[in-house]
Amino acid sequence: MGAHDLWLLSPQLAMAALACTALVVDLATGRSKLVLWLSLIGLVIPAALSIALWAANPADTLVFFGAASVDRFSLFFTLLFTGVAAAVIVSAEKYASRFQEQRGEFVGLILASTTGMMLLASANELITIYVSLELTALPVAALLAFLREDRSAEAGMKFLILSGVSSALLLYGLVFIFGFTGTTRLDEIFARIGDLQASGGFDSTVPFGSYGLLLGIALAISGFAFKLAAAPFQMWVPDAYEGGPTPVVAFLSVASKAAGFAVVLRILYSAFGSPELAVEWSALFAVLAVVTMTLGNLMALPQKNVKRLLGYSTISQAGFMLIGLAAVSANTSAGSLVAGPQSVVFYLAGYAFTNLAVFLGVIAITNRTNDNTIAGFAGMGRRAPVTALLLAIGLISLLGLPPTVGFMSKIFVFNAAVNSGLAWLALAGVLNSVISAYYYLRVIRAMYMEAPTSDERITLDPSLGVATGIAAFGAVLFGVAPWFLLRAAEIAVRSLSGVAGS
Amino acid sequence: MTESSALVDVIFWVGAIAAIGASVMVVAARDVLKSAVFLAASFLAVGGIYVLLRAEFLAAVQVLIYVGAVSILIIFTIMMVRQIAGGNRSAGPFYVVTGAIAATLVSLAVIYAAYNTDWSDLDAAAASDQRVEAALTGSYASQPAPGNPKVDIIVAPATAAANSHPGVFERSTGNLGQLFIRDYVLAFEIISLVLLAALIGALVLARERRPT
Repeated sequence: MGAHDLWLLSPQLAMAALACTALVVDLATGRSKLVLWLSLIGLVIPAALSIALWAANPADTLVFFGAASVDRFSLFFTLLFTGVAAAVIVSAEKYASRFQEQRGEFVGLILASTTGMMLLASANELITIYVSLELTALPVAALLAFLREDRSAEAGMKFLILSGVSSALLLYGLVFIFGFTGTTRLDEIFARIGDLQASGGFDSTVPFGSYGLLLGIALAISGFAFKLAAAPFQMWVPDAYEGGPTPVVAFLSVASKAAGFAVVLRILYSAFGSPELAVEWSALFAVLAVVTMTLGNLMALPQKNVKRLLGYSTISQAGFMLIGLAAVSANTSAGSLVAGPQSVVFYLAGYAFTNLAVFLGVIAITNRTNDNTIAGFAGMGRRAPVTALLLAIGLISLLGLPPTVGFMSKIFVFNAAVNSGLAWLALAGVLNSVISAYYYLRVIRAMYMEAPTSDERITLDPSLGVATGIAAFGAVLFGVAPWFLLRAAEIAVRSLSGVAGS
Repeated sequence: MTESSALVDVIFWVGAIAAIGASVMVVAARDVLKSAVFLAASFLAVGGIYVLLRAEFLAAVQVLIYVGAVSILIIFTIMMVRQIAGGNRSAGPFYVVTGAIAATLVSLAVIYAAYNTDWSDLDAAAASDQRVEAALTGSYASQPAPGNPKVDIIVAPATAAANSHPGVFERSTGNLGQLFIRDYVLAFEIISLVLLAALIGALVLARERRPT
């Protein structure tokens, strides 16, 4: 441990320092506007450090005695989280008037949670993973209750309790994995499993080669499914989404999900990446993907509240991403297939732009109307033309129509599934995309085809407009020219130890 | 089976049954205050198991912090918030039955897996027994753990030369400290951030609302 470790972990350290600075400045000056803009400018530091580290690409990525691995995979996500945090803080500028005196704390907690996500993306050791996960979840529980009205308090409470239950499941699973392999470091778990397989310590008649490992992995995946908003641990999503402050919900649905997928990808490939095990968890995720997509879509159909609808939408989107997890090279004779994890990483980045455009658009409109129902969006095409257009772009991308990034994401995920011998899974995905058209288009229909309830124009706040514009622009740009992002995702995935072909 | 390993067995079963029984009572008791007291009893029983595993420091921490501080804090909180001291809302029969079935199935799966798995380094049950016995009678020797020279392990005299399983720690306090500031220093430091975030979150939510 030394200067090298600190340099590698500098984006995370900078983010933690920024969180503390925001809190101290708020305490000292009490000027929340200052805290907000200071944090936004400060976010440039972790972003710049991430880019510098990506460019430097150090050979020795393990830091703090193997507790974390700062490879390009983790840096990809570090940069993503920084961007999402910036967008959420911008969106909170106007929304936060409802938080009364506590805007400084709002920023501090968002940054603390972001620090947890950044650590989670690099954590390479089970205990560090667990603690980082708590650091991501705890501030979000408080943030969901920030409005301090009944629905908001219920959202925070539900999130806190179910997050605790899922953490308990996860810990139980991690204990089994530790008991079976005798180590908490992912790379050592990988080596230990390799030894056991070579020495015949695995029973080929049992899934995952051993009941202990089977139970450990199943429980750990259950624990993570909560963070991903995947079935059967999705029940907290609609209530939390409906009751929580919209900027927090946007943060939860974009950044929290990406962090969950990042850590799951790392655990699956770095610790359980051997072909024999990959076949097993691939089957597990294939089933989870179908259940999650279908459940999220069917439940979304009758929804009347936009935030609740987006809650079910985020569940179904998690299902599409799970398809990419199920696509592993071990299913085919082809030795190298990075397409599966690569498509997940690409999907997550594209989803960040898409969903931020949607949520920021919803925030821009509901800030004025204070009406979250679909009917409340009637005639927005006339009342708020720019916002409605950006929101529509986001919804089209969620639905997966060209020329948006949502279309490309789905193409890559389905392609990876077909290439790894899971054509039926891709077919299920296509069918689900068709179902989802109904509820995404309903919002667009309300905005453009229905008569407005009032003639009052809704002007777009400049800073929020810029953030929404960037998000929607990204959603279109990476739909028309996905190659840059696709290449970055491939480099990121290839730096992850255990991914086939690296 | 020697006399001391029978003693170990007895202590283990008493501790295990007490821990499980107390935990069940935490959930089953109608009165929240009784639940809290049973929780303290459960913490105490788990502390007993830690002693059996030769983790005396951990056992002391368990008793001091969990029994001494956390339980007392919970009981104080219950007494201050009078409304919840009255009783627990009982769950309907549907939830009791489905909950019981789910809990039984999970327990069976865990027990089945526990018995049918070659646990890492714990498979040598005999060697492990010897180590605990040696630890209890005081006739143990120590040697550096294989692959981790900075940690000492206890080995029974008979197997001291041949034993390669990292097992019971000698001087668990010192080793624990070393692990905290070496191997797990990152996790240890992240916890301080978690506590900060929890503190601020709680303060914000508990603060009195200002009239607008």
